[in-house]
Amino acid sequence: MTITGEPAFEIPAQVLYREVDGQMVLLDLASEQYFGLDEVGADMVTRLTRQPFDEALSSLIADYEVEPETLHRDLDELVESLVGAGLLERVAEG
Amino acid sequence: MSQRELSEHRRYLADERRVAAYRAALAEVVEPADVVLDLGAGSGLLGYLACEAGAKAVVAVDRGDIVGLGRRIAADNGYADRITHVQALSVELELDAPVDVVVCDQIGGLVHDAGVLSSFADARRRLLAPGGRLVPAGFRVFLAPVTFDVGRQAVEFWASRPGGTDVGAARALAANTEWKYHVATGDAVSLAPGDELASFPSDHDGPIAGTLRFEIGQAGRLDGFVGWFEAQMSPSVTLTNDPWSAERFDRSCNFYATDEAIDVVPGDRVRVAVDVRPRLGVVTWSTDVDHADGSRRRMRQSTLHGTLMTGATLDGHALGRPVPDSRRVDLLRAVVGLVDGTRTQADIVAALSDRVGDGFASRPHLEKFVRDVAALARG
Repeated sequence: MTITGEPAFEIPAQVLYREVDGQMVLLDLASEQYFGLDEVGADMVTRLTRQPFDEALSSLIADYEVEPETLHRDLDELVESLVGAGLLERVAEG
Repeated sequence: MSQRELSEHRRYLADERRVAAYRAALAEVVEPADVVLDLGAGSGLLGYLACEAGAKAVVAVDRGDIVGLGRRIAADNGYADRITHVQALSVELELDAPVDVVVCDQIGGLVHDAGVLSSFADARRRLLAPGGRLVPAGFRVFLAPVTFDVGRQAVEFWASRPGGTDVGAARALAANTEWKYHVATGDAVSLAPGDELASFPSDHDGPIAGTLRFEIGQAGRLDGFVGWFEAQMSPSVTLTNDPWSAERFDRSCNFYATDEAIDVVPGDRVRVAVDVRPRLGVVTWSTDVDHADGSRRRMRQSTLHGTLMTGATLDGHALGRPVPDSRRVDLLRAVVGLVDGTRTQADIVAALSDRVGDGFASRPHLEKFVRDVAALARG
């Protein structure tokens, strides 16, 4: 994984998270609610919090057998859902 | 009774400071003709003390089979006509009339264990008369930075290759565990005077959180923080498990290890932020050590990372699933429609192979989904 810029997103301080068997459990202390991400969702979030958005998207397209448009749409939907739930924060444009 | 249960209840009954504090507090709080509710009554001692203080009646509730023993002991001590024993969770208890006093002794550490606060809060809402009293009425909780050999060893054992085996995977679990110890003076060295983290009434039903700043007063090794409480039993009676108090009673303290042992000297500053979530059973503690030489060490730990979990238990935690799954619901219907007793899993995957890239990122993900659905269908 090549990283050339600032990550696009971060997990806010009020959200605890850990990886479990490739999946991810997130605990939002604000709502006291648990959330789960499957392997693909966990992989997407991990990349988004380590790489700029475009690099995360490109690396996902390279690693998964999926149409780029489909993956882009899935990634956008996941980001929208996580940001809306307060589980992810945008920290850089891109 | 098991050895553990016998030892636990013997410890409660033999603790003279505890018994004296509850006796004095109930004598101060209970008024003639009061009805008292004892939450987690165990062998029933607090009910007898309430009767001794003049209570007209006591309802002793406990979820365990120990209610049978409590009933026998009440009869042996002449309280059978005044104490009613009920085997139930207190949150499931229904009473014909509200009580005047609720008493409980399921307390330890930073008080949040065993659901004691939520039990008090539930009793206040449902079972206590307006103006009714709680014993204890409230708590103050404290922390002190310490050198604590026993606590440090409990973490570092897992990095020690016992028997030549690498069990280091468990060290992170140990470092993120809320440890319980009966800490007495001399067991731990306080590197700075303890301070109050928070105070709250007994029916507090929310987070317990606070930030403390310590200036290190003596050179030593920071192993973590010992936490204890002081209960306001009644207007004039308090009870504490403060390890450095000559009046401490025999109740466990909590120990929150720092991720690493850190040597500190006078003038170093330590900041710790603690966030206890009683409803979740999750405690998070963040430590910053600012050394006098300008260097800094920062650690964040949580019992979320000290909990054993697998992918299977994760499903139980994932109450909300933000992953967009509408296409997978559609696919679930498709899989269920193909489970007809004649097709194999491979047949089903083949029949749905055109959905790879639509509902799933890759064929292995589709295969896993079909396996999971088939397992559910079998189960």
